[in-house]
Amino acid sequence: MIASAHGHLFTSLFFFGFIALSLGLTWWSMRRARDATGFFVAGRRLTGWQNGLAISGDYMSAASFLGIAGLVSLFGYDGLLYSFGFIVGWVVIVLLVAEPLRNSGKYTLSDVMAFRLRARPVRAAAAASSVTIGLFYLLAQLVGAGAIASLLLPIHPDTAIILVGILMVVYVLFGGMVATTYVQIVKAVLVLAATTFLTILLLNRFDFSVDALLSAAASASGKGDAFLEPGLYFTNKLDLVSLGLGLALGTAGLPHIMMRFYTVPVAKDARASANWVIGVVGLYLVMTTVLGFGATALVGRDTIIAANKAGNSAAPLLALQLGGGPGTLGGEILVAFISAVTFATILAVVAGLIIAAATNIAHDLYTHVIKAGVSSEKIEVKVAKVATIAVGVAAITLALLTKSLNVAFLVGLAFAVAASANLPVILYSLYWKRFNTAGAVSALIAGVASAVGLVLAGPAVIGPKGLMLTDVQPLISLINPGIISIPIGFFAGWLGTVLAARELSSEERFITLQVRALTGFGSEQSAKTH
Amino acid sequence: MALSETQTIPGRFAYADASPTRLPLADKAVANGIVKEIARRRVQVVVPLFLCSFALYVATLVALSYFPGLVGYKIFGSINLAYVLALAQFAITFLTAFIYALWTRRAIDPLVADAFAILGRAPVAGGVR
Repeated sequence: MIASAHGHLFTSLFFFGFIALSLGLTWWSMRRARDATGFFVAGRRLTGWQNGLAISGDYMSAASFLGIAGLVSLFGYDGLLYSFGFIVGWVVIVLLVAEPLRNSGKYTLSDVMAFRLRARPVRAAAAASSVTIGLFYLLAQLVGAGAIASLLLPIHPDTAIILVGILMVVYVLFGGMVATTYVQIVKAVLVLAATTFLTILLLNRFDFSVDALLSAAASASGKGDAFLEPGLYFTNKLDLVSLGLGLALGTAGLPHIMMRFYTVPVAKDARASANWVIGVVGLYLVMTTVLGFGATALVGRDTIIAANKAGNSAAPLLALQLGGGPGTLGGEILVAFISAVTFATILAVVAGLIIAAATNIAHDLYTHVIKAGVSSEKIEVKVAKVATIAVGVAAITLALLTKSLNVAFLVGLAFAVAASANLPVILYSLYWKRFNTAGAVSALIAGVASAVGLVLAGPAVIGPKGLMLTDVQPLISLINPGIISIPIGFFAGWLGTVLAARELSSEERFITLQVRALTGFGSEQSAKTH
Repeated sequence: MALSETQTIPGRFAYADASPTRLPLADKAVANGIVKEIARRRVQVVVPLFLCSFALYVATLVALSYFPGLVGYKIFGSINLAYVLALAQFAITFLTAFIYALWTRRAIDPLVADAFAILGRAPVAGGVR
């Protein structure tokens, strides 16, 4: 724990303030989230900037807020890979996916695939892959919530995990996508404000000279210039490239991010949302490149490691220092504010993940796989609400069981699965006429299996640094599977397609899909036009 | 139309399928021509734009991993090439999105409006709160 009793009072005040605000938003949203479009996609009535801010709220997770600052403060430059890797993924989204996706789908990523392919096998495989991604991401956030709580508040990590889980189920259950969206917008503004404030305070200490800040960090690290160069964290060179590819290509396959593009009226607004994200998240990530170095220079690696081995406390410790140091009122208020913002971050991201997973289960698995497409919207929402509770309970239980797993590892795995399984199928569905159901199912299965399999056989699970069999050499030396599993996913999609017979219905439907994806003609309408 | 609560979601291909089958043949040909033109322009601009920014990103990753001497080169005080390359990724992403937004507004949006006019429906303007 790094804060005193005073600090806890402030943290609790900020924290309960945010909870009260978000529950108020949930209550206000209830009326608008009653029907299916309202519950799943906020009636498709959000403006570009609202959705852009909400996606930013979804994307600026605890992994980036605490994780990047922590990694940079301990390992220097290598931590920055997360900063710029997280933004490059948006090139794929803005150029290739956002607008056609909004035009072609209804509630989930699988809608685009099912538009032209045989719906049941494709939706079943895609839902399995999306729920897997969502679960890894959820675990990361919940495990992170536990770790941070024990660091900043006098509560047990388990209590924090259960508390965060229950709150999220309440938001989603009663407020659906409308409440989730507003919680994310409020949180995005808070995170951006907090980061900007810290960055200004930090740079002020160095007379706004990044050069002076980096010099101070290098000399305080004890590693000298090497601290400002790559190589201290990624000892296997290929791992840096592999993680970089996973981060850049995985974003467009993340179900909880991509389903947000259905919440705007037309494709132009989807484009505007993506541009807002690039602006807001880009600004935020640029600032994260200096905060970690600032923590090294002002707090020191020893103090950071003493508070948390993974470095997760670097940002709060830096806030304490910038506010005036331990024991000062300014320091305690600032660290309390940063802690509360971190909680808000986790709450908002978890809400987005739960609603995405519940939509996959209700819309893809229940309505289109089990009921073969014959169901009512009312029942679909009911199933989604049951799924919300089920996903919430499953995630809380799993998080309590897997507390020792590394947060960054789980998020990296989610990105790798998204890039290897979802992305190939989305791109082939949108742009390759010959693509067929066999190709989609092959890519989804091969992508998930290779990404998860390589991690299970790698040093994160097996070997001296892994979770089990610590006296055995891992089968492969890569921690991040992307560089192998992404090509496998794309190759499997191609191979499955060309080995199977041509699917004429898919090729015919491709023409209709193209009209719809490129012009928006026939796409799902916004609720306000009804 | 109000969303009826008992409205069924038809299976497989049926929902919101709006292929312009009832249009006169001549109109259909024009609409198809516009869609082809949109696809052609996108291939000409979007593909090079994507490949270019992605290639720069991969080149950066390779440089960071395999050319430590090069990226350690100090450009200004302690600011080395590695840090500048990291910031350059943000600049490239901003620039790509900016070019794409300007280009789509000029070259694609008018064609989409034309296609819509022919296909018989007006696009919904930006969301209103």
